[in-house]
Amino acid sequence: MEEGHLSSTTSLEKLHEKLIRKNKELDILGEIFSQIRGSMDLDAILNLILRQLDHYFGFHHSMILLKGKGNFLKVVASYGYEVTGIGAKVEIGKGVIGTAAKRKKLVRMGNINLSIMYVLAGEAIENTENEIIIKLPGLQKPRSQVAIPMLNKEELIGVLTVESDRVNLFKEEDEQIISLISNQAAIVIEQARMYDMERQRFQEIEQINSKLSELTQAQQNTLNLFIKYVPESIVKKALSGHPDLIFEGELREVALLFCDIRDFTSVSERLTPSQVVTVLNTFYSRMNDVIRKNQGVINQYIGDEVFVIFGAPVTIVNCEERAVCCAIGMIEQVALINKELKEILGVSISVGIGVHCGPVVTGNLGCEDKISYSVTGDVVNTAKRIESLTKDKPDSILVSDQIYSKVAHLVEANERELVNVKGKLEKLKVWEVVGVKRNSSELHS
Amino acid sequence: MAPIITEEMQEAMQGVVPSTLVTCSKAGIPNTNYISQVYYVDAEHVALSHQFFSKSIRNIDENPKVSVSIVHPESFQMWRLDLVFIRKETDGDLYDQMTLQLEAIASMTGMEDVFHLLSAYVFKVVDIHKIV
Amino acid sequence: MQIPDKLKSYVNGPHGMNMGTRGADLQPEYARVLGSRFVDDQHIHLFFDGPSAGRTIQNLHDNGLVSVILCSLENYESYQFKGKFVSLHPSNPDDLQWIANYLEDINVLLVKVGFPDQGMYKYPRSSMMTLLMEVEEIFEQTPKAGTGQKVFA
Repeated sequence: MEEGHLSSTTSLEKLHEKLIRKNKELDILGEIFSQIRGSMDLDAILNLILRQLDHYFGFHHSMILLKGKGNFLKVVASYGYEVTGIGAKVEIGKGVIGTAAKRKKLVRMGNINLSIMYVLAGEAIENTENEIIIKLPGLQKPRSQVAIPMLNKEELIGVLTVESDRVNLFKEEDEQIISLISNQAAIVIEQARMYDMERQRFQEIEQINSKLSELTQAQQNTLNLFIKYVPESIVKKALSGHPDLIFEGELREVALLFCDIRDFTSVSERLTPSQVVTVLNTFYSRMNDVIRKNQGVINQYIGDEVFVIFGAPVTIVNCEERAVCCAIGMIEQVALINKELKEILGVSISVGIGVHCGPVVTGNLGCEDKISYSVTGDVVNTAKRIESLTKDKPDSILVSDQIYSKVAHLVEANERELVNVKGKLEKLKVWEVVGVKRNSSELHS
Repeated sequence: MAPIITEEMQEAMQGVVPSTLVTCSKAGIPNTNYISQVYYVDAEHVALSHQFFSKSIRNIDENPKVSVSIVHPESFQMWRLDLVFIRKETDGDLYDQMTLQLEAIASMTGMEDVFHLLSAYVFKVVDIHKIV
Repeated sequence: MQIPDKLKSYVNGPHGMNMGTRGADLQPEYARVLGSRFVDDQHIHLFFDGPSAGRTIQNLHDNGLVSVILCSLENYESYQFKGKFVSLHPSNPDDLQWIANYLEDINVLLVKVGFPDQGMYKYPRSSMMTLLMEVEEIFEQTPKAGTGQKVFA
């Protein structure tokens, strides 16, 4: 007999060869992994593996695919191909690569085109009912491929595939090493991925935090702006409780103050529009300071008129006193304003203030698109009427009898004429506040 | 000493160059056909996938003696192997690998549910001749 | 039977060719064929190397049964010819030339398909034999649906 029978010398040689080979394998593995373990850059690791496969085993064409979130693999590294194919997807279960992934087993294909033909032809005989049309490949190079699943504890991480369009020989020992490398690579890939995931999570948390502070800041800014338009107490009421509650009406005892710039039209005729605005804004801001100090709530500015409420929406102690104190403070401020106005613009203004108190209905009138806090009732009309009486005497404060009864111990006042009020039978008693009593230090708090 | 399959021969058993299978019916009529791959099992055994022509299968069922050729894809060395059919396998590593290959091919054409490997035919190597 | 017209030129190749015979003990024997030639409606020539064909010649003398498969490398069109051995003699110069042409032509095809150049030249040709075969049956063996069918003249 010829070929195929071992002689003892041949067997020794073969064993020796095997030993050398085994040592070489260990060297290769060791080198590959010391290089891989040092790095956490996934791309670099994968490309290194492929380069090493060529260097040590002569595999000129290879690819690594990693399992995506769905039922597919994606090419993440390739070596030796003209077109890299990175990003290409393979469905798990399809073809050589897909089958290796699905079954988590190594698949060898010595000559793919040939195999296709023979398998399909074989089945064609068995199943003559099925019209299986096979495209005969014609002149085609034999293509051989090995697809190795990359597993980490039985979990599929990806597939390593080595291909050749020439005739390439995958020795069984080669396959074993590649399987080893492939599984080790799977572990390393998992580690690199987890590292990436941690880093990403950390970044996400940082982003969320900064978004949160942005939002909080924005909210604060909005609130601050809002408060300028709506009394803070109302805003807080709206924010705290049921928003619809802001529409609730209430009957409250309040003091009301109307302050008007007398004859402002003729003053504004002597000024440019922007000067008019400047004057008015100065007036408003100074008045505002006084009003706030006295816990008044500015309900409206109507041109050169200011309408202030004391005691709503938040109850205050001695709202009548506060109102009168406010009126006195406002007159003092006007005198100061006039000093500046005379100097800069050559004009001066004079005001008239009316104060009254009584029960009013308070509430947020309007609807979703426009709401304003409002007070209604006779008391409002009367307060306005009283203020209008000041036109005869600029820079005067007129108060109703009801007010005077509350502040008589604090102010000096002159009784004025009885006044007719529209729609009312009774005439109204009005007092002019002319000064502060000596012992009333509280008025200036 | 029994003939054994060398490493070089194993390289000829990767299905790169098609092999020829000669069978013979009980009535004595020889039949010659191609098969895509002769599979290496161990030094004294090879296997054929069931996916080949039914006449050959019928012959083997009647007469277990066959002759196959294997060709080394690089050197084009050719060997002739005399084999005798010993058993069919429907599980194990060999069957698995054959199944995987079949599945890989079938899935390329969307036919993975249609095709299934019936069995692996395992043969004992009786004789090996290098045709040179 | 008669070799159908469409196969007359086909027989001349060059194709992958392989032959099978069997012994008295029903042991099949494979042999490589290095060329074939259409002779007439019932006969073809097959060329093979005697010494490396194992028991082929023995088998031919024993029962005369032979089957040969031809496969086109360009489109895998394949046919199995079954029949009887008629005569066998060492190849003459004419046959040898035919064989030389065959090797050259088939080599071109093999290289195209990615196989090593000159691979075919490895095959032993120390003592080429010319086998005259009477064709009795032809089977279509191209890998496709309906394969295995007998081809009728």
